[in-house]
Amino acid sequence: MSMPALNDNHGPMNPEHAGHDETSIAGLAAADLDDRETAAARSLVASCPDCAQLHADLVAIMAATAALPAPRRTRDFQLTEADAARLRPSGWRRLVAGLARPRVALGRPLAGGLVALGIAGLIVSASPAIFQSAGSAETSGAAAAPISDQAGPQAGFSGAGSATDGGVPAPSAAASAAAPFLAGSSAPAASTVPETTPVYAGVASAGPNPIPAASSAPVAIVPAPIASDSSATKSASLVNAPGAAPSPLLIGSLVLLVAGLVLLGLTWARGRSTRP
Amino acid sequence: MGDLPTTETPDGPQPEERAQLDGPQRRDLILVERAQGGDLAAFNDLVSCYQDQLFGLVARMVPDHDQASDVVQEALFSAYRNLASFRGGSVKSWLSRIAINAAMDLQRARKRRPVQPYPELEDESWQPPAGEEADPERQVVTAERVRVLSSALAAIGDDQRAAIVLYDVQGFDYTEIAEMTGVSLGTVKSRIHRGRLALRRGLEDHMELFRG
Repeated sequence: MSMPALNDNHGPMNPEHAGHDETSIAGLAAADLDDRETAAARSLVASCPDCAQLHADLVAIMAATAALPAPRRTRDFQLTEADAARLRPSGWRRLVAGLARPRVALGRPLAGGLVALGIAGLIVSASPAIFQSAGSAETSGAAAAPISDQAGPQAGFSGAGSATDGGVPAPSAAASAAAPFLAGSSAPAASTVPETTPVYAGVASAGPNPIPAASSAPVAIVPAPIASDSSATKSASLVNAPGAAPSPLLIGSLVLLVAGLVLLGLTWARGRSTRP
Repeated sequence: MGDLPTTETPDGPQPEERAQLDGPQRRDLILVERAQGGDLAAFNDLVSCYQDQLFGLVARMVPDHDQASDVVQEALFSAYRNLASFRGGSVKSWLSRIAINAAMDLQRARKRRPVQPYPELEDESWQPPAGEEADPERQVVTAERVRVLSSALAAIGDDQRAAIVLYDVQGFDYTEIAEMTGVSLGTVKSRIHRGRLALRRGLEDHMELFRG
């Protein structure tokens, strides 16, 4: 035999009360319900003794909470000069703190702008090589396709649009496009397609049968510079030719990009460190 | 506190905005500006104004008074370190937000590395002030009410306790609490309502102390 539930007055609880929304009674006690909710809660309080008791208890608890005496602090929290000296930002923290000041709140947009300019500059400095390699891919794609089909292991290096003299596979256009972003690596050589015809080690570049036999040994791409007068190739050479000084545009773009990223990093770090 | 400067810094509110602020808010903003300029005495004036309130807030959330003191001190260190990030508005709310976050960080750390539960809140500082003519029986009832309510408050969830302390004890409104705790207005209301219901469940055996 089950015992009837008891309410807080230790009397039997109204079985209907279990289905009543206690949160709405709490909202009524806090007086922050809208008109419709207030009316619904009031009707509950009027019709259900347990809801009425709950409402009265919540009001009493609110009053008692507000009247809680303030605990007494046991020490003085003023900062000493030593504390201040220890906490004062110094070095890079001072720089970062400066960036977080409201008047320097343009730090993040400025950083974004620098990054955008840097990326745009990189694209512009890379575009001659991209256009050139795309053009050469278009003009020689048809001729290269059958060779690529036969190339076996080398097909992965040459790609569908490889340009060759005498069937020697050339680096793909994708590799050419990526080359400017890999400044300083061996990649720039691969971007100068017309002048630089890569050949595989052990294969004569002018030989009549330049396609090497399939071999399990890894092959290395060796660029072979070829002179050209076209302006596009000149500009590409300025940026990417091996041994040539990098373009000022490329250098400037990289500087802007790095500066923007550093500034972004600093503002981000400041935002995290000043989260109160 | 020395003479308050009349000059405006570019970061602070404009003169017409400042004229609309009440006295303590104007005073706080001026002190913050001076502290931002390196005036430690100005910052300590702010500390003097708010250390009782901050300790009262933190001590409700971290019932161990030694730990609460450490939290308040750390919060004030953090405020000094990050003065440059103060974006205007209420200094009291800004300091309270820093203190709440410091208290919450401590609570989270305690949950990750539980050591021992908070002690019973029987510190004499929690006793109500007694007048000479106060009824001894009434004093006992009041002291017992404070004790059980403080214990019940310490037993409810951290978020609910913070909301209740900020609203009922510290007197912040819903919007300020929402800004301080980084949640929506509805969440603040819900935490307060559910927190009070949890308090009532925690006080189930002692409700007669509150009904008279």
